Amino acid sequence: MFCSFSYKKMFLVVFFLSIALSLTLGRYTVSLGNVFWDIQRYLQGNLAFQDLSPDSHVILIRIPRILMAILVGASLSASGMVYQCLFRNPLVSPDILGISPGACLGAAIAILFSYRHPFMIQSCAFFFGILAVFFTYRLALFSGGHTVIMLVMSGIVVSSFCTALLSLIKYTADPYSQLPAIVFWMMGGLHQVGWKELTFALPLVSLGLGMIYLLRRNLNLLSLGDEEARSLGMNVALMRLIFIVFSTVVVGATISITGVVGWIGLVIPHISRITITSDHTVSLPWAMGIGACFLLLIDTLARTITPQEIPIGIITALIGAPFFAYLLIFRKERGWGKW
Amino acid sequence: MVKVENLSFSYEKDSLLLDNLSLSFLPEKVSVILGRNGAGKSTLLKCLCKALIPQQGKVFLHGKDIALWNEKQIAKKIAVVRQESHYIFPYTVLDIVQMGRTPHLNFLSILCDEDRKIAYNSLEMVGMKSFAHRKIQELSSGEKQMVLLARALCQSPEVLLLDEPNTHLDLNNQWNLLSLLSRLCKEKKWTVVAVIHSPEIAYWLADYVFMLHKGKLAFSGPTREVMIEKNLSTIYEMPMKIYALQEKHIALVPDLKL
Repeated sequence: MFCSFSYKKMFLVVFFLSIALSLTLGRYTVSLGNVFWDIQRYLQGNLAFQDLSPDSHVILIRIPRILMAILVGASLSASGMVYQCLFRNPLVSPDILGISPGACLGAAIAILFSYRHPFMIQSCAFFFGILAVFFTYRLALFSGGHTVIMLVMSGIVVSSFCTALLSLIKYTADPYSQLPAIVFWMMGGLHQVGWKELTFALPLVSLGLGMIYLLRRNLNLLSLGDEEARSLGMNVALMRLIFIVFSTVVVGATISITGVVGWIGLVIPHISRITITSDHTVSLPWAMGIGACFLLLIDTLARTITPQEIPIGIITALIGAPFFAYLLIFRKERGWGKW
Repeated sequence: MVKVENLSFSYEKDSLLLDNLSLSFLPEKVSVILGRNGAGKSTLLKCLCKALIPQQGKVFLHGKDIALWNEKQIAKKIAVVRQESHYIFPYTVLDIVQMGRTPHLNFLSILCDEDRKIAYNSLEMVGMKSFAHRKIQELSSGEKQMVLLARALCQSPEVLLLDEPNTHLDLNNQWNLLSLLSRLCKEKKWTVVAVIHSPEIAYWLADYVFMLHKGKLAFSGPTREVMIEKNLSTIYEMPMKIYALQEKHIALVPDLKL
């Protein structure tokens, strides 16, 4: 009833419209006809890389970028929703366990040591992001159990430590080349995405999102609290670990390529819950879809509104913050004032 | 039947919260645990559903040690209704009740039509079917407790544990909840164990009463035999006077000479 046919139809229209806009708009405006012509030639093997026309960059740049935007939007929304349930806090976003500061630190270290190859920066960011979450989890276990509050506190500790190290690196970095590179990376963007980056992220994200999707029913129980979830038959510690592992993999794989993209993980889960339902078996896939659409549109905006591409982190915050304020006001009328 | 043998539990080494308890709860009977604050009532309830692991002693359900069962196996047999739950997201009543089907689902499976049917039936049994699509936050405390009872029904358990289920309810809602509980206990052949603060309500509701005092089982047995002035005065550590009102109702007042 919640995901009525009209909702689904509306979503599909917006989704395919976003893809069409993203394919055609940009530095070069390409007609849809040419896009399909290029794709057809590529699939038939008639499009060699050396005879790329200005239109043909659709294959090499825009399509991987669109796919990556879909992956990143879906990943951040899904993991945001997971963490909000896990921590029983509607104001939580995916970086609560320190993955973003960890990834930023990793990227900054790679830039500082002049590993200019994007793949090195991505690998470092991914590794340090995962490492930060691992330390958070171990610290929570070490300090008396894997309760929600201990995880949050450990997340704060690890995030602060990573942020301090990041500041140190920024301080020592070359202010003309390395520092701008670090700052620009942290603002987030899909400008570096190509097929290679996509092939790195796709298997990890597919696995993580697939598992989160399959286990989504358990999010409802986790949001009730440990004791109640346990009395309903859930192995809370195991389920929490599973969700943390897959969310971390998903977020790590995406932000290591795109940099930090804020607001999506916080706002999109709420949009899904308010417009569709709070039942996470239904609202999780919707959040993934809405997040994918949202980031696709934001990315199209980022590379079309000005001649110089704007980092998407700026636009997501500019649009996300007022929109979230609107939702907070709107929420009162939908029974959301009683958290 | 739920059988407890030599159960002891403590959070700290030197102070036992439950001290060598041995007791049995019978099916189709409502058993009520009475005692002062800190006597160990809720702790006992938590040990019964393995929410707490006792340092010593065992809990048996139909002769099987529940310490050997995992959460899912326990939830199939034992449902718990607490005072009040706190929901951070505005679930509908149906969402909440459907969560009761969790122990009957596989790791990756989601709810099917049969589960939804069971949830609707459970809501119907507690008279809340018309509330199915209402947001849980919009309900009163009494209605929320009915929803939790419906969720327990949906769980299809054999044992129902209730921790002060009537605490936040007015008299009318207490009556509705507890009389429904009493009826369901017989209909579903449940073993019901409830922690209740009011001895008057316990007298009306319970078939058996277990009185805890400082972590020990002070008195236990059929309600009419156990709920006498002397026993109540001992566990509440103050002189008590019982006034019989009707066949199943008493008034209990402190017998203090001020």
